[in-house]
Amino acid sequence: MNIDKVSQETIQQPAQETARRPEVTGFRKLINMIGADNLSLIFALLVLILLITVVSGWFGMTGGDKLFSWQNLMNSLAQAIVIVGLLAIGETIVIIAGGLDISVGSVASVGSVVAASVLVGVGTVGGLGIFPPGNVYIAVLAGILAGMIAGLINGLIVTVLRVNPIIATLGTLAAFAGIAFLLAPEGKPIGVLTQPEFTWLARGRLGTGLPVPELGGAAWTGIPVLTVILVIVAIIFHILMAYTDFGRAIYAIGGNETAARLAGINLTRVRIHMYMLSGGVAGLAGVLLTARTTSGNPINGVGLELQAITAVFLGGAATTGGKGTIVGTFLAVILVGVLNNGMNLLGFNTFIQRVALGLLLIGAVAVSQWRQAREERARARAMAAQG
Amino acid sequence: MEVKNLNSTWHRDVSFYVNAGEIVGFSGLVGAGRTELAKVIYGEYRKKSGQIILDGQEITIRNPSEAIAKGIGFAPEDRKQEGLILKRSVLENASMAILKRLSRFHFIRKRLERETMGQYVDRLRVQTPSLDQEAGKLSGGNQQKVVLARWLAVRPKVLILDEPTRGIDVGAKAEIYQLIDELANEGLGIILISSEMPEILGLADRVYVMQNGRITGELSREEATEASVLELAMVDNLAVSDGEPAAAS
Repeated sequence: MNIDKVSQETIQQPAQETARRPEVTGFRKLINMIGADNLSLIFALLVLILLITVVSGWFGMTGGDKLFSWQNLMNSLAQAIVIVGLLAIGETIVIIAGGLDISVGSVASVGSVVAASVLVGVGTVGGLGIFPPGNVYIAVLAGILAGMIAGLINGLIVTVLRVNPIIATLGTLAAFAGIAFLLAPEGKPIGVLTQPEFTWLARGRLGTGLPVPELGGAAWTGIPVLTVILVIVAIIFHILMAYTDFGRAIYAIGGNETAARLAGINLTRVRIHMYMLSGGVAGLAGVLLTARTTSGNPINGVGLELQAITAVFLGGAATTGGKGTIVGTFLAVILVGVLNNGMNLLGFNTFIQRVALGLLLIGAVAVSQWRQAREERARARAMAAQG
Repeated sequence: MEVKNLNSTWHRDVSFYVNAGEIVGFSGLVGAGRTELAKVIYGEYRKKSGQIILDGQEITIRNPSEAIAKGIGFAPEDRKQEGLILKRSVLENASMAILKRLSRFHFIRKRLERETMGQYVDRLRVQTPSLDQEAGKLSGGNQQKVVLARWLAVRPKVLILDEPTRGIDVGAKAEIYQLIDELANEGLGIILISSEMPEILGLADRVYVMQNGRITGELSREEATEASVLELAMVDNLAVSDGEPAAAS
């Protein structure tokens, strides 16, 4: 065994290496760092902002000018994107791995009910008597843990039973929604208003004392704790996907399952961990829903999966897997948030917003498909050119 | 490595061995069960019975990841479907099988990864604008070299190459032949599955010929000619010993 000889051989030809790999610098490096997909998202966001603030005025609509005020940015927008943002972040890794998790909304409902149940000491989980009621930390962890268990179930169904992920999570979407009701006492919401330390998660503000000038006629009131949690989770998941072997494995599995397995990646283990992560984040989203609505309500998470999945595809993830970033999803979450928020400000009703969201999902996937087809052609051309 | 009396869905009583530093060719007609044999050994498919012995010890391999850990590598025939992740970069494709070695606490040491894989990519003279190029944008020959770079980095004891030059231009073919030779000289045992007669006859130290899931013969380098190999590849009555009725005819 003398393959180490490689190193000596190649070190003797450094000139060739530097010639072949010029260092990318300056503006190009910046663009590469942001990524072309993310640039188009930022561009779309700017167009949308222009539509809301300026163009809407040409058609006699009012209210768009309120977009840039601390009142709107911090009270409405920054909080509205948190729940969907968390679900979308978990969903991103599942979609990059070539799967889909439709059950995240129901998992959030379970997390919501479990957290409230443990906190107040009622319902199935809280009534077990193993958790000390009133402990905020334990309640939060219980909600996250419930989500991870739900994710583990998803993962086992997909890997051990080999059920297609869409069908598997469609099944658990229904099942977990039912379980959320079964865990609540008589299926009724559990109020948590008496726990101010807990509702702080949704109502608390950080950095209220910072000398930030007022914006849009509204004074700076600090950043919502909710938003800070979203940003922290996004950063953790970004690091996970961009810098760890787990992230690499996720991209590999989504890009080509067979090749990943033949290169020694343990598909089952990676997939189960992935669904547990997605479930855990959905559980956390559920906990925060409880804090925000001041009740552990079994219907808290209903319908949230649609917005989460929309954001992921809008963020540049490929429907076939193997492509996508947390940064892209995060930008897309902001885009969807601004769209909803802008439509609210301009006085569109929620039905029109739903139509817009549905169209956005289809549009995002259509663009993604078009992009993939273009890449396929580019690959074919590149190969033909090289013979 | 030695395989003794291996039986599977496709194979009956297959026994052969590969010494360190030896290139062993596997010839036969399409459908003889050579690719399947590679995948059974590699843990991708299950074996029913039989032993795999490496360095004098019997080893169990339940999946490809265990095979790699034990020192067996496998470069599949179909690069696009089984070998590469076309959407990901040359670097990611090449380093896939040694991520553990390149990581500390699950964090990939990116500079180490770039340096290590850059060496192998250079040694194989992969024509690519950069390590970040999508593997799917390379030519067939360069794609195959990326797969080989992956296995060089693993430093296995035995490397199974399934049709390593299929769909590759002449220049790259010659380079890959040279590399296979070099690897064997460095002590790697190589199982070369190929349907191209000149490839087998030119590279292999010994040749096994397969038909219908059996090894129908073993030829030394001197014995192996186009005629002798073809004869063994088409002896159909050998496939139906054990007193079973002939499947065909």
